[in-house]
Amino acid sequence: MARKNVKFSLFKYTMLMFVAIFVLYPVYYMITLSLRSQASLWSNPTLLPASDSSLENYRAAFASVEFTTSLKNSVIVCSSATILALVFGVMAAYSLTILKFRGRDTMGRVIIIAFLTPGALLFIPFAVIMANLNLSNSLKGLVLVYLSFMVPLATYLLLGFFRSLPPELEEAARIDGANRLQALWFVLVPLIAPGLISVAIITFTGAYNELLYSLVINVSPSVRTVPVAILNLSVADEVPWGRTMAYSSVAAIPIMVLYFLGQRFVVEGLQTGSVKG
Amino acid sequence: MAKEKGSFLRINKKLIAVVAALGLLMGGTSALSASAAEKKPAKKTTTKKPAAKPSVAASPAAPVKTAQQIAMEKEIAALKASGKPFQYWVGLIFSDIANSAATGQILAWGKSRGIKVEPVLVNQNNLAANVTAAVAAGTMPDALDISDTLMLQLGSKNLLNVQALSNELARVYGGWNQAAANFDKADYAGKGLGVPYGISGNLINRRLDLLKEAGAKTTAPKTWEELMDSATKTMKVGGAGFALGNVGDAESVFRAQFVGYGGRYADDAGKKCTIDSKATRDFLGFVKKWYDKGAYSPSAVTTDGGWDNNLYLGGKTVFIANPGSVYTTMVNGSAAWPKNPTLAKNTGFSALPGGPVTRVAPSNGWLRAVSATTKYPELAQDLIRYLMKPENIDVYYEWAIYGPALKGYNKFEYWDENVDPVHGGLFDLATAGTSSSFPDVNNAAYAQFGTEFQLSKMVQRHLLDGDSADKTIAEAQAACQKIYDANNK
Repeated sequence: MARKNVKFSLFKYTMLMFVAIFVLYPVYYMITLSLRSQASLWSNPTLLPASDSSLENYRAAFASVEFTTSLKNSVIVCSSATILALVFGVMAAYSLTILKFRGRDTMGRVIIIAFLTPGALLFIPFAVIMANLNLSNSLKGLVLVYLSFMVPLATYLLLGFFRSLPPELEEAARIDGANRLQALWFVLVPLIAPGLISVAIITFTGAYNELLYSLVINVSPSVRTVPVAILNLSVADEVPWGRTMAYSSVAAIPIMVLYFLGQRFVVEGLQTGSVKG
Repeated sequence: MAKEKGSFLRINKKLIAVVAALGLLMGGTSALSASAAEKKPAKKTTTKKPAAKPSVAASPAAPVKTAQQIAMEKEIAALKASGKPFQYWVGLIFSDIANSAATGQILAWGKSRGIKVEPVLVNQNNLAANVTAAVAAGTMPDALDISDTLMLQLGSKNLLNVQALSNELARVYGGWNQAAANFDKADYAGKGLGVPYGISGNLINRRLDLLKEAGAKTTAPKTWEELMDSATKTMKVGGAGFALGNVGDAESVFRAQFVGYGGRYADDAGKKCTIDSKATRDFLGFVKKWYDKGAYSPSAVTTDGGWDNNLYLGGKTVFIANPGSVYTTMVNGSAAWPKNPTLAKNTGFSALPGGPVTRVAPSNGWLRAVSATTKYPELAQDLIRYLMKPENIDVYYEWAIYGPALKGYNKFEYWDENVDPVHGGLFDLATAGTSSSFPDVNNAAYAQFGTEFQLSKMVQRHLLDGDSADKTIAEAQAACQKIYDANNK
């Protein structure tokens, strides 16, 4: 029996190791490339850390006003959109689980469809809407656009958390004199706090990585986000790979920190959303 | 419940940590940025003089009509009343100095007119996406730099006719050079939609030292066969640094070879596709022969726009086709590559070789256009007039990799090939080059065929998928006819 367990453990860890290599290899590749000059990359195309590695590309990243501005813009836009997505997502998920009204299930499905619509189909309509609202070329406009996919995602993920709560909790709060908003805010929301964190991280990541809307809606350099700043490193027929990877590595830090701190909640959130959603 | 509460407290701590980490990151970024700014990276040393201050002297050599003046004054008043800036999209190009020169000149013009202007550098690589969304949203800039291909696709529905300005500039500055004159021909579909300001095209860069070492000819190859022969003699695999993927570099080289073998997309009316021809079979036979002999690099299929530049600058190929950015990099260095004067010395530049039927020097144009939606057409044309003044464009040309559009610009010293071989090559291209569409009719269908990389796709199906020449040609013919039919409706 013990031998069988050892064999199983060996198999399990071997598989996990392969998965880890598969997942971590692109990160390793990004960091290795970010430490090398273009000349070094092409004259010595090794996958191992090169002897001529340097932090030059990182220095260039931090010295670039356009990049640091874009990083700031990304954090502002994504944080604002995440907070708003949580507010709307909580209210939508609450309505779809606690309240009883006609067409509730259909509405739930429509929200998923809204989330699954490809961005490439929507970038022109969004550009038109933002122009009509006089919000083109602004961070506020981008926040609004991002809500179009963040709110459905947040709602879908939060549905699972709300469904895991016993309905009696809300009823008890109502009997004690709380109105619906008070019951939601003081009783239900604290109980789904881990879910809120996981949803915040997942939606923040989605917005942080978004490129197309940001590219076409915000043209001015002062309102560009990180993915556009990285894309703009490639001018005409020059693609500075080392610098592109250094910028990408720096841009990945906020997301990595978020996931590192909240990974338990993310896993929990995804499980709850998928099982009970 | 207690457990839940405890968990919530832990979350609060984590939340604080997340916020603190983000704050630290942003703070650190700003601090590092500030520190880097204080230190200031060493100024790029160049062999050329720095960009001169843009001229702000009162405008054109041509007399401005009173009616124009009145219209412009009205537009200035309207612009000031709107509180919004006049917006110009500058094509972000390879040279930072050229980009700065262009934006500096636009700002100087705005100052001289007493208006707020916003020059926005838009990456030429993303221009099509930006313009598509802006056209739909009605947020096009007042004026912009645009490629001849995109200009044709936008057409007169989206761009204002500036033929009068074009005529005025031609009259004042001695007329258009041959390549720019192609955009002023009566039968050109985009005539009058833009003012040509830059002519670009490929030159062959060749490694003289490697060719000599291998005992191959070091003189400029006159035919594509000669080039491929030298490439395979010098380097067993990958001597010809030409791309095979869906990138502009591949499409433009294939186009020159295709025409060299007598091929053309469509008939003289620009309606009926003529891909299914003996010339196309000869062209495919030529590419296949040298592909099988190892002329192409194994990485030629998965390329980006800079792949061939990097291959050449990294010493991994003998020949490339390049519009001048590689030479500029060798001489001045770039964000990615340090200077390499030795490689510059060991590089020979020449026009594209020919095929058995003809030899072409395809040139592309960059034009300045005015949006049909602008409320300030006179101001837009005044800005273009200002940017086209010799003293302004001189600074721009010196650092950009464009040939001269107007004959009045031919006097600048850097066009001499002894002063600068690439500017010399671009000058030849501008003054003697053929239209990139030659011998085809330059219409929207022609532009779409190229932007969809149809020629490259045909080659890929034959070389990489192993389809027969007949099958690939039949498919390309069908795809071509579909595009031409759709555009000729």
